[in-house]
Amino acid sequence: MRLIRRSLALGFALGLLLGVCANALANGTVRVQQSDGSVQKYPQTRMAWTGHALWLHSADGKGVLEITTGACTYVNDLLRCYPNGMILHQNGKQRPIAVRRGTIYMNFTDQQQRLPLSSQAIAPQALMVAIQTQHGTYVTVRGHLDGARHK
Amino acid sequence: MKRSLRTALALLLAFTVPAAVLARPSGGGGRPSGGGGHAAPAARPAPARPAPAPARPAPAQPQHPSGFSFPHDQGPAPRPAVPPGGHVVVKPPARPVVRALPPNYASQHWPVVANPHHWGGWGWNHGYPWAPAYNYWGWGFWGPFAIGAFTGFVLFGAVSDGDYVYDSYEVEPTSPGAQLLQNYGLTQTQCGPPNLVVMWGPDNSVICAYPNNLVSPGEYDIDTETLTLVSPPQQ
Repeated sequence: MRLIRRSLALGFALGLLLGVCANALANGTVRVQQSDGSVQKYPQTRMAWTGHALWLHSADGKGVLEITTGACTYVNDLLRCYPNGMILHQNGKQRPIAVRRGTIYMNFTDQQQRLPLSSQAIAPQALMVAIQTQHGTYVTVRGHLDGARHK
Repeated sequence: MKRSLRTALALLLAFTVPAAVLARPSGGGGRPSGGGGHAAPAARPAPARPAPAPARPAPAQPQHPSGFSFPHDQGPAPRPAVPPGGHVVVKPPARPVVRALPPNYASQHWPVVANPHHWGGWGWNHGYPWAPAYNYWGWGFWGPFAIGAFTGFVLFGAVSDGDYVYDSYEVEPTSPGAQLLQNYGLTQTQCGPPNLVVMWGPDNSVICAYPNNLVSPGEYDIDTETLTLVSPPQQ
């Protein structure tokens, strides 16, 4: 009986622990590959979708990358958008970054969704971004959405 | 029981405190990692000295990078490279007249070829309003064909109105334009020959298809909200 109680208590604690960790890590990673080949990764970036723009907040709270979008369409159950441009909000300034092309996929469903014409899948409430800027910088993002307003 | 509860609480504290610290947006948490050449050196402790030095202002430490770093994305965009043996697809100069469907076309009794699905309120897009993506051909209605990039374009003939030549491109299969074709049972073909269905999309984009029992040859505009073909009155 004592063993059962102890197991239950441990299970409860572990469940709480997993819940807290999952909440703490409910965000994603931004990878920036510069045109000279150097790469920076920004883990624990918080992500929010406001219906027309994707907001990426750096973990240190000092930079926000706003990706404005257009031509959003549903492809099966995934929302796919094209980036119109990017604005870097940092050091009290706003700096536009010209986008050449890219794609944003968002999965607002509670099930994993496969990308069209691909073997890759996107987890529930997650997103995937690939953008090339006019200066040849590649920005890729994978992670979970912390907030989403659909329209 | 008390002991097990104490063990559980201790475990919980031991794991949750570091997790909370990790998640907190503090100065160190967001520093970029990886092989980039832009990482700042870590702060070092001051070297030990045998005697106390006279007070002088400390040298300025290089500022740690914070937020996101885009050192190369400044200034005007470079010109697109020319592919070997090819030509660069660039946005044509602004034309005097951009075809656009007037919002009150229904009240003006413009002939409409009803979409067999009778979409309303952006029903074709799960209720999500479609908005332009300006740096794509046809504002992204026909697919992700970025203006200024020469990959991903398959030229599919052209339409001339006497003053200008409007290039046409192959429609991407998962685009709204492809859905339009599918709804009407149309098959895209190269623009140029007579007696085709000529469809004008956003920003003077145009594609052509073979006529069928639903859509007869002629020129049509597109209502993107209802994914409907509209036949403008002949001038």
